[in-house]
Amino acid sequence: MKTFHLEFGRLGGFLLRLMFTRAGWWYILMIAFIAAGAARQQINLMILLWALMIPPLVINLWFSGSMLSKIRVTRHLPWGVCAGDPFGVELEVTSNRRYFSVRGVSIFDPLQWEISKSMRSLFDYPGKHTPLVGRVHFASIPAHKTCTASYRGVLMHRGRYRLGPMTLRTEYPFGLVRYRKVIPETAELLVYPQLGTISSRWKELQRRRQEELSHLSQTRFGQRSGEFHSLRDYQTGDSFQWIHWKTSARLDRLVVRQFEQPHGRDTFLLVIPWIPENPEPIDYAYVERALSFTASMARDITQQGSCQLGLGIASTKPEFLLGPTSQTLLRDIFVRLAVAEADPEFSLKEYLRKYSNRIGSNHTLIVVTTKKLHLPELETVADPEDIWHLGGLYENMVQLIVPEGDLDELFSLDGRLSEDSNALLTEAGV
Amino acid sequence: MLMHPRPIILHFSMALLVALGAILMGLGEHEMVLPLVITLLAATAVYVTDYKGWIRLSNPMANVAALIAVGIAIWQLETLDRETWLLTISHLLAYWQVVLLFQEKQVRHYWLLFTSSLLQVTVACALNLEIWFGFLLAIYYFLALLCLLLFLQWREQLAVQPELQEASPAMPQWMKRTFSFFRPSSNSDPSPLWQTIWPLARQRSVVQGSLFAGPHYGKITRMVLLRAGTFWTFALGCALLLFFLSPRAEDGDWNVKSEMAQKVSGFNSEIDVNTVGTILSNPTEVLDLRLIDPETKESIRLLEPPRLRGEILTRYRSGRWSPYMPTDPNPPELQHRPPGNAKGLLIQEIDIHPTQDEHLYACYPLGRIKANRYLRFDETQKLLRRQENTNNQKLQFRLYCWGYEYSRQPSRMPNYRVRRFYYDFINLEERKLERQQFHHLTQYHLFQRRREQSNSLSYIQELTEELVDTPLPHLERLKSFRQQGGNRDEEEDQEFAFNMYERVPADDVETVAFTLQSYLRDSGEFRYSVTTRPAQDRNIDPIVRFLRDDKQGHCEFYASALALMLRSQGIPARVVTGFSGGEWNDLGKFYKFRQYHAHAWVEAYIPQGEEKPGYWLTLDATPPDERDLFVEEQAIGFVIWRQITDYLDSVWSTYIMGMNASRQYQIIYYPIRDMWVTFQVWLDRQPLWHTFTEWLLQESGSRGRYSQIWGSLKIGVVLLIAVGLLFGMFWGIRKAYLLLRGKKRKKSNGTYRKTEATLQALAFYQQLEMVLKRHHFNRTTEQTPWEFAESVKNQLAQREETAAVAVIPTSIVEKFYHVRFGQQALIETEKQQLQQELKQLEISLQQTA
Repeated sequence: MKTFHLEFGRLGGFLLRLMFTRAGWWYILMIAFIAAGAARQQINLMILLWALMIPPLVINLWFSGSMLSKIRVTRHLPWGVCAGDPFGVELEVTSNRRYFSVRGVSIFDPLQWEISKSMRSLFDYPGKHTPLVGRVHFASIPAHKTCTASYRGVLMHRGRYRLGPMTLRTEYPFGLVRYRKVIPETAELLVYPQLGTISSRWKELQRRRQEELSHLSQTRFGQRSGEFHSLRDYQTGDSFQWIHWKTSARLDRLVVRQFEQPHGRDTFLLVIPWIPENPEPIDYAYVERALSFTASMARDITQQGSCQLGLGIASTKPEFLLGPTSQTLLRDIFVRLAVAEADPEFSLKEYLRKYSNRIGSNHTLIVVTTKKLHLPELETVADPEDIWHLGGLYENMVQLIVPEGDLDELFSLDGRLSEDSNALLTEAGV
Repeated sequence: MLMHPRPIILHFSMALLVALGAILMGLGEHEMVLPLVITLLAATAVYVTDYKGWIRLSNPMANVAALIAVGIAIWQLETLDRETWLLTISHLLAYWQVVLLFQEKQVRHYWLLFTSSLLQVTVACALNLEIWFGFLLAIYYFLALLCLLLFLQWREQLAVQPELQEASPAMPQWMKRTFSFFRPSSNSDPSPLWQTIWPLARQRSVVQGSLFAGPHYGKITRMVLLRAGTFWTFALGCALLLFFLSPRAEDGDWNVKSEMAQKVSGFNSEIDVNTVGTILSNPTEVLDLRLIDPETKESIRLLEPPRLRGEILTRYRSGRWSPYMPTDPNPPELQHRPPGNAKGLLIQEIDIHPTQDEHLYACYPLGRIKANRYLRFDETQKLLRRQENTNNQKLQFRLYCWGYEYSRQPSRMPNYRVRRFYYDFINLEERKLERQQFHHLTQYHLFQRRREQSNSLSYIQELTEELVDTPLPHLERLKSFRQQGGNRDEEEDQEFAFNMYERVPADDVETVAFTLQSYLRDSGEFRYSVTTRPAQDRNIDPIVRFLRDDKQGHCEFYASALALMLRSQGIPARVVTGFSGGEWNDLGKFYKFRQYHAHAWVEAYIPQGEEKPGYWLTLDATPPDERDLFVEEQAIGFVIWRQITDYLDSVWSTYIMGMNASRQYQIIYYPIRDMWVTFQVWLDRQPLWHTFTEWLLQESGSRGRYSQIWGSLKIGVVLLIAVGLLFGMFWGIRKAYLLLRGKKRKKSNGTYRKTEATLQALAFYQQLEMVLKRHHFNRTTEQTPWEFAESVKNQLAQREETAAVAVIPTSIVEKFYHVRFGQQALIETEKQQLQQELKQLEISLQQTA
């Protein structure tokens, strides 16, 4: 496509955004052909035909050029969406024109996946070379009216997507001339990892482990379940009577006794998205599976509720989240998992040194890793006072190594999408 | 199988466009078989391919069909001239259009159809002349604009809803096998392990657009037609403006180019009195004649029907007339100009259709105004001719004619140079020779035959002598007529020197000529008829039969009889064929001549002694009343309708087909210049303007340079007024639009955009919000309906009692979105389901509470 290159003031900008469509170029070619024939042969009817062909082009130039003025576009989009789930982006167009309706306006909203360079170069994912563009066409927007329409989609890959800048385009009324206007406003859409199904086998294993720990606890402390459960850090609102002074003195921070047995057990999910220096596609696949499992676990635990839930991501950009289960926490966890990057370098020792004292000793530590771990020596990680605490964590730790197939029986992640997603894909002809 | 809505309206419009393009081509070709076949096929394609989907040519089949079309076109290419090439291209385009029509349509197919149709019309433009072509072109233009509008709508719809594009028809198995080597081999490798681990890795992310439009989008509604009509009106106006203002080359002949123009029948250079009847019943248009006074520029209507001379016939043999003198094969271009002091000078503007031969018809005597390379003058025949190879072309030319005083056509055509102003086609040295030739020819053609066929033409000799010798009642009438004519001519003689009527004694050859004319025309013995009885005896000359037995015939019988009777008395006479009468058009102020105006009359040579040259006296023996009655009977349709169509045809011929540089000056540039001059004069006379300019000059200190800036001031004021007018016009249009728009809004009662389906869906959604609100689920302002439904779903899913109904909000919102943004109406079962789901949700929430 060619554009006019007359860059002077507003007129230059206006013309720069004005271009002929492919059909328009053909049309111009035909006009030139007829004009040449008419002049050469001196046939008035051909001159008439030539003259008849000019006005549609002029009308198209005029209408297209004036159609996009005084229009305001607002985009509404969700916070985030899980990979493989449908989503919708609502575009609200307001015409501030006094008299005439705006006709035939298309809005293009490109979605760009901000994928890491290493991952982009590694494998050809579908749509790598064809950018995603959400498109909404407004046949007519009356003057002083607001119209809303939305485009829908299914994004298959986790990560951060940048929406915009939006392009308004019109070819009204004959499709010979195109006028474009760019709205430089951008937005961000996070795509969380794909959610899978935690199998009943995992729940069975957890139940057995729970029983074992309860038994151990009874024999060690000789207390009945339900009276005293564990120690935990002091939180605002806790009664002073519950403070375990001895431990608090030893740890130099307030520790309280927890008497009630919670419905669910406090869990800390630690993900280690490791990849080798020279990764293969399968290494990324392990990472994605690990993240999906973690997200699915977080969702299930949040649904059970009444417990503490934490997330840690051990990479060069370590993440730590901990709190009572809630939708807000879950969303935060999803956001962290959405943008988590696979990393060849990590230090579990550093991570534990930094965050282990913030994880309760009664937490079940589930480590989901793409690399088999050699747990660091306690002495090298923690202060002497915290060794017992870290020891407790080690004791409650479950290590799931993805490449070794630890998740195979516990977690299923299939390519089958929801009915909505499938319907959308069918409509889109995929 | 899911049936998607097809753009049947677009298909239909496009097929109509193709059919109309073919008809336009057929009009140029004068052959309507192919256009009719294409129209039929286009209608069939719309039904069997676009509507029913029964027949769809796949791409390979279409390619084969297109190649066959090329073969047929080449086979039809008989000669390699330009016209045949044009027609072949046009036919080929038509064949390809048929192939395209029977294919499954995609965007490119529509463009190809549109472009090929336009090219076909371009070719047709090089072949057409008729005003009907203009009318059809205007309709075609409207249809083309409508197609472009609908096509854009369809493309936009398709871009956001790609599922509307129908699936390609399955290729037959044999073709699959044949063309399988073109297709890349399918990758049958199993999915690698990493894709099993990460199933979505190889899935394509998709984004599905949507269309915000009314339910009638893409259909032909009243509004769409109105919009297309508005565009059409505006575009047509602009196009005409552009057409008239586009400069033509000064020396160009924009009026004559047209290949394959229609053939017009008419008199040949040889005529047979037995066969002319069919010509006289033919209403085909031949020419338009406009007589213009060069001083007043007004069109003149003659008191008597004008006669346009075409051919002069001198040789007669057994009912067949032919020109005796051979035609100059390379006659020069018409160079003669009227004499400087010619009186009764008029400009004749003739717009003549193609003729069978090189004849051109005009009022005589004539002279040229400016050189015209398409005209020539046959010096030997003394007649105007077309240049070679222009028979199939429509010609427009302007010539002088003179002697048309008192709005009468001269009845005496000069032959020799008389005094200083007589127009002469033959130089003085040729005069005697010509006289001898005439005498010799007359003798030869009449008396030689008399000797050979004494039984036949001797009757004419005897009859004529009897008529001349014996005064008859009709001769008395003739004398009376002569008496009146004599008085009239006496008055004319005082003003017009070339009128020699009164110089001829009453008993000389002119009287004889009038006597014979009167016998045939006024005696009542002869009746006008275009049908002739079959000859009983082929040895009898048809003219003798006409005079003796039948006593009925058409103009050529009368003219032939009179010419032969004159010759029998030694008066040189010749038959002139051409057109006489014509229909006067009050609207356009011109004469329209059709085939049934063809006429034959006689010119008798009247000598004036040895010193003075003679002249040719025009004699018409055909009874005028009977012929006029016959001509009126031939006319088709109402007079008003004929006048209107003739006028439009004349406008079309003059201002569209015949628009050239001089006409542009005449109708555009000179009037503008004249208006400007008039305006300047008017402005100069205004005292207010004088005061204003005086003040302006005084204030600016430019009094000394008054004349220099005077022009600029005037231009400035004119521009100011023009801009003011433009703004006024814009303001008026805007006000009118607002007025109309206000009425429309009032009429639509504020429910302009909301369809019934949207309102229903909206009602369901509002019910959902109310139900949820009652149970403390409130939508925040930043939440979209979908987000709100999602959050409610998550909250409900966490409770065991409400987990079962958790999906209901999202389900309802999804339906709402489908209707609101996807323009999909709810069906009855969906409505019932939504109602049930709302109830179920309400009950569940109440139980929980």
